[in-house]
Amino acid sequence: MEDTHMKDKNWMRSTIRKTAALSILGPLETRIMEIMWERGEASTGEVYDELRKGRGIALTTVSATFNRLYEKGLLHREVGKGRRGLSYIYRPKMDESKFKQSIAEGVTRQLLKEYEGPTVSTLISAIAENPDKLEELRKRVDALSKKRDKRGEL
Amino acid sequence: MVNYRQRWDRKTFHYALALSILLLAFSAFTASYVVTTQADVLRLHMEPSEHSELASRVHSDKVLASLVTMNLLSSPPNLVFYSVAVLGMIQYSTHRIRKKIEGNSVPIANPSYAKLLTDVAREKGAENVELLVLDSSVPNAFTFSRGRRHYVAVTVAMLEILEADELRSVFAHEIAHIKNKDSRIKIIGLIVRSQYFYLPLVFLIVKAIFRRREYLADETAAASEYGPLPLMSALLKVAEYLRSFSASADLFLPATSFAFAQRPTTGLRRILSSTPTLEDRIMNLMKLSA
Repeated sequence: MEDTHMKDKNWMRSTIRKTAALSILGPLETRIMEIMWERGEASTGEVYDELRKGRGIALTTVSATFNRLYEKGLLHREVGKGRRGLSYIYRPKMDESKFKQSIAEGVTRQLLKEYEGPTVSTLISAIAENPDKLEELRKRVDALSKKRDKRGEL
Repeated sequence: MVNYRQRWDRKTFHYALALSILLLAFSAFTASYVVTTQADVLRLHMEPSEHSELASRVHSDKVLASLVTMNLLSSPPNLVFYSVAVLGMIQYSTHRIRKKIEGNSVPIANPSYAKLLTDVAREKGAENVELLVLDSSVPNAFTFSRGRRHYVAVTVAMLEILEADELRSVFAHEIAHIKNKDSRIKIIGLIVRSQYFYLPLVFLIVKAIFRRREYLADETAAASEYGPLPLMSALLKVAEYLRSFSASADLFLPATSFAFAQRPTTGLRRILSSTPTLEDRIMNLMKLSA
């Protein structure tokens, strides 16, 4: 009885961890990263000015979020001259497509490791909804099986 | 309103008085205890053969033994030892911060900060004050001295989030620490605390004195023509920042200085901390302005 309870607890914990890994960036963090990819380089004050247009937001929140992104290793920074004096100037470490690629790869690999069957079937049905993707998949599968056949002949 | 020339305020005096009364009472108690036990022993009119019995009696008196040990630990010759230890620690921490600053300080691209600091220093009557900007994402400010030179250090994160009038009030707070000679009070406090390390009340009173000096610096900074509002908003901003940002590393600082920013603490930690929380300081300033 106790054993299953413990297992439940561990299962809960790992699920929570995985969900957290899936949502790697919070809403404000995502917005800031989008601005950074668009601009390439910006100071905290500049991004704050842009964010302020849409909604009420505090400079302290923007500055703290930038720091969090820096600690997560998504941004480079150096001290420079900002909007109103000394400030950190941030630069993204990787471009948007590379970032998304690495997130997708990490998450999918993790899912395949933990829930192989459901993940594969979900991927297949998702691809089946799009004929172009399905065609691409067929080509890739053909290429892979040809390669395998060749290896088998040798 | 507090005059900024004031160095020794009433509350600090009260704490110091309580501390001296406590120490006097402790030594009086020790002396009386030793005298009464010895008189008790002397009344026995012992034969020389009974001397060993006397020795064992004194030895078996646990209270006497511990009181004698405590008195020996904090006897005047030992004060030299404690002072050397504390001063060594301070020297080490200042040396360390200088090393850190050498690798961490930023050339001040915008001279208006330095000018602002000099203006505030002139207004408060402090001389030889230099500005240092540290590359750190924890919004903080502190002051330390080497010889006659005083340094006010602020971090880049602090400059980022504060407006000019708020920064001015932070500078005023730091210069108040210099004018109030708080580093000296911190040194004396640390020495007393280490000398009477076995008395918990001494520990608490010394911490209370340190907290009081922080409030006093706030009050001194608020006593300028700009009033307490900019300082309150600076404190609020720093508190808000620290709440939303879990900095992995706290800011290093020399043992003689008081950090501007303090992590939010509650309950018993408040009495054990040598700096008041930002919220408490804001409340104090509100009382002042009311």
